[in-house]
Amino acid sequence: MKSKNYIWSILLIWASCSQPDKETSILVGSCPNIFPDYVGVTIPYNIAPLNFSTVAPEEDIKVASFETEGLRFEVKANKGFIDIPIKKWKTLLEKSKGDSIAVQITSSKQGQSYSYHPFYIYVSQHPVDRYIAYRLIEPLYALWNEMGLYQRDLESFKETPIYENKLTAHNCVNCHSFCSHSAGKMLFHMRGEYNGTVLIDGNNIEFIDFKAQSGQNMVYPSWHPSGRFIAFSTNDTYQGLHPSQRIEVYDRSSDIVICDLKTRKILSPSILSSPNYLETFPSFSPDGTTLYYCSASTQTVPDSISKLRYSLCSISFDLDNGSLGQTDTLYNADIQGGSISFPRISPDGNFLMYTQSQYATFPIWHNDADLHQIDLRNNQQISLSEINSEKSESYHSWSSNSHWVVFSSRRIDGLHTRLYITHIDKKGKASKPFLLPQKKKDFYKLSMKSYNIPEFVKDRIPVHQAAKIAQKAKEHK
Amino acid sequence: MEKEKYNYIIRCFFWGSTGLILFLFLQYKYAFYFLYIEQLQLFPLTNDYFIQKLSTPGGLVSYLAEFITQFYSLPYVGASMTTILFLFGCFCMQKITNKLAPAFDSLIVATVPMVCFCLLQLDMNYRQEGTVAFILVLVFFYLFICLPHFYLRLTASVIIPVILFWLAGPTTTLFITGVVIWTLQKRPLREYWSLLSIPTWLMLSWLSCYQAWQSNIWESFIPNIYYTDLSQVSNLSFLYCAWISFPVSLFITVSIGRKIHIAHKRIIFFRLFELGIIFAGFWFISEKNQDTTLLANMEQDYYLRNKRWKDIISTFPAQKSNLQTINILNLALSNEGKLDQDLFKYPQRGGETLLSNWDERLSGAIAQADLHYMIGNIGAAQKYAYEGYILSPNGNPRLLKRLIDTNLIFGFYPVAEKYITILEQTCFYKKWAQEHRKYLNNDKMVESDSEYGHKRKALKENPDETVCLDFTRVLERLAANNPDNPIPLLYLTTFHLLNKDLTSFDHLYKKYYQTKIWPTLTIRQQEAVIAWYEDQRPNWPEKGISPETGQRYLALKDALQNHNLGNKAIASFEDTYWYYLLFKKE
Repeated sequence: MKSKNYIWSILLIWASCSQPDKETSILVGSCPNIFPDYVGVTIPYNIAPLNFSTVAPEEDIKVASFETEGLRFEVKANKGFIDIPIKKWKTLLEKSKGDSIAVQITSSKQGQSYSYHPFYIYVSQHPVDRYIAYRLIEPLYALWNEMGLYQRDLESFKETPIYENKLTAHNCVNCHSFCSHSAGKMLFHMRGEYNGTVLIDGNNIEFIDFKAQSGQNMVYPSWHPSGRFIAFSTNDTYQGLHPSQRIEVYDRSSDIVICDLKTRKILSPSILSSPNYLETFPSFSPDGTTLYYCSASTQTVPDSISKLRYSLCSISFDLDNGSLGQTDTLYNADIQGGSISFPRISPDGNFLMYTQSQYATFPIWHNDADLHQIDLRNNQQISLSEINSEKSESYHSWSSNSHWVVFSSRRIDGLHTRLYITHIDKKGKASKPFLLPQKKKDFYKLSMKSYNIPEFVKDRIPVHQAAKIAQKAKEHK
Repeated sequence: MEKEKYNYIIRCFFWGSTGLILFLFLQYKYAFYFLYIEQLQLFPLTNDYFIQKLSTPGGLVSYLAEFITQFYSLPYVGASMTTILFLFGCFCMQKITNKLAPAFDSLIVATVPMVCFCLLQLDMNYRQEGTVAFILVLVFFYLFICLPHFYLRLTASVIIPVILFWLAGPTTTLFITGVVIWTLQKRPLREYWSLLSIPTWLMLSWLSCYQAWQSNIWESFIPNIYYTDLSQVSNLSFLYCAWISFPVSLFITVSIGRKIHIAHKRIIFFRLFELGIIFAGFWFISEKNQDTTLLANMEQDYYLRNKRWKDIISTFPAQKSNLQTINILNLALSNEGKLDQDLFKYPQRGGETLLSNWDERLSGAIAQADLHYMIGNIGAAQKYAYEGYILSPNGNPRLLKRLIDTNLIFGFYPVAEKYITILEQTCFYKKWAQEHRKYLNNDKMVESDSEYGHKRKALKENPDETVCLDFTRVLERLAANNPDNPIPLLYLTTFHLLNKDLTSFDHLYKKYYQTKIWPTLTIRQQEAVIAWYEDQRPNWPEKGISPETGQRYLALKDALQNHNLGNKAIASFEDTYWYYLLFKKE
């Protein structure tokens, strides 16, 4: 009898210990403070799992439950990190398309269990392009060692190289650009001893040294949707130390030229290469009839750099012969203040998103730099307060279906640029953005690289293409 | 039995002596070299890093080399670890030669390849992973020739290149070469199947090129990747010699080794002869290739890193000096309060000897980061620390520490926290990083800190200045913002004096002299004021010139005008600014 009691008491203790903490945990009325902040975000239904942990180091997540209509599962934390199984996540997203997911977290702090009020993740019916291409590079000053262009599969965590500079003597590779989000038609520049532009059209890889042809280095590109023309800016760029924002980057001169791939000619229209103005950041409209760009009257730099303000302009474009028409100023920085960079038009032609900072042309170093948007149907400004932060927001690109924008922001630590994705609805309203999800808990904490020039791409670039590109560059040299 | 015991004792004596002499040599000649190269890598002791390394070809040896190098921060460990690696490599090589030709008792043949690799390790551009990879090849090759059955060897000849390719990279070529030599030595015909290792290796090389793991197919066969920067390598052939020494040693062993037998009685003399040959060769080559200036710079760098200003001054290599070493010397003089007094005792050659332009090299970035930090130019210190970090192929804990300093001073706490987190993953810098967590988000603590406080105080920015390109403008701002720190003003005035730019000096003098920024004149500054206001002798006292300085100038003038006093009299003024102004070229 005694032994029976003994067994029962052990079983009772075991049972009480193994019970979930629900009864004993304190209910917290607010949402938990998690990193990345996925509370209330809108996501596409084909995104990788949104893994997270708590912000407070003394608090450990124990378990998180995910629930949508007809499906619920729990994920136990590993050292405070919720690593969601990809299969379960995909099923969950499939079921919650156009709806939301309720996420409830139980955590422990100093031996006490806390059960948080559930938060919601909204799942859009619109998918996002499967890949994002970007450059990974250290964020500061002039030098680099290893850098590369990479593609990230948004449906998983897989990142593969498009091109790494270790293949060509650690030279600079930059300004990758895709024609209508197509992996099969793209370009990027190489600098240093392999100076030139790599043009990829299907299986055809071409290496063009524009500098040898025109005496100018091509910089910021924009593909014409027809694939026949590419507008480039030609920037003479300098860098200096800044007393508080680390560095300042500025152009002493810049023009826009248009490269006709059919005739192999470089058109340098006088209207876009005035010596009294700095023209930069060309961007073709999706219908190919308009070229948007930024323009500022020249100043003595760096001494008068704070007076350097870029306006947002557009000019009509004739795709038959590449000729230009009349210019128009959409945003006059001299009157309206600020300085404009990176005009980008949504593929449906409805919206134009741009970056605005106080002055000059390199907003990434300006904490005041924010994203702004114009509804091109009525030329009205649309507030993007949902996606801006106290730190710099700069480069951005639209998805092919015009429903998603990926943009770079320094909101986490003020230095390393990270990628955020936001949903844009029919009226141009942006949802709360979410940080590009990662598999590892401390990925963003430990990564010393910045994400540079994020671009949505519809399909995957084959990895073995890099060896062919290197071969072309070497042959050209 | 007696004979075996005797041979064993002789061998122990041989290897013991070899190890001891090598250790003493390395410690005596290269102690600061090991301390220097340790800081050129940041090694996180984490599972993630291990997995990340293992996921690339050659990753394991790279990991092992970094693991070993992290201990070089401790005194004597660099020399000890290099000796241990050398002895272990020799032991493996001896096992191989014994297996191939049991009667061939030459230790010199077993030692030569490791002597070459050991010499390579004394080159800063060489990656230690090349040596670790070679030792791994020796282990695998020994295992291969010990396999008892033909089928096992056949399997191994295909599998080992794959394993070695992934773990050790291009050194697999040496394994293949070994297999070829071993196979071609009168083996039965069926053993030729072991040559399947060649197509396996060729296939892997093609694959690694196709997958863009490497830039061209030749990288799989040649040792070039074991140099960090080929443009800095003066003698690439030495690396190739080290590689070739392995098949040559094998060839000698299998061809003539079987025919030679050394008489038992002479073995002791033969061993001593071998020992002599090895060390004579080692000494000769290392002395010939030794860059004594570089080693002196590394010693100076160690003192700079540890703020041992007196040692920098006492060991200053005047004969081997360059702009960078004089920059560091002047910094040491300023920290010891002797910059003004002893300025012209050393070879000053214009403003660049105070602060030179950066040559875009890592060693320059390390020195510039420290120089600017000590002066208080935190923006530039951060720039050079960051550029140096980027130039370091595997990170750089010393520069990361400097970046933590600068970010804490600027108040960029999230970035400082990131760097602290990274440094906390290392074994030897963890404690320092943890101690610096207390400054995060704590302005009060930063401002009350003896080092960070006054540096932050000097950072008050000028709203009119958005880009600071001019070093002198920065120094002037630092001096004006924090008059308690005399170094920026001293550097600024000395910079103008060394450039013989008395106009700029006078501009500063009129602006700041007799203010709290510049309350009194130092001797050299007085000499400069006399040089500029020579015709206003009655006003010298009110301009801050002491009677002694005035008298000395008159004595110099007398010596210059009276040629009978000769050059010796003029030479007694070598320590003055006037002498520099008149006779020294910039």
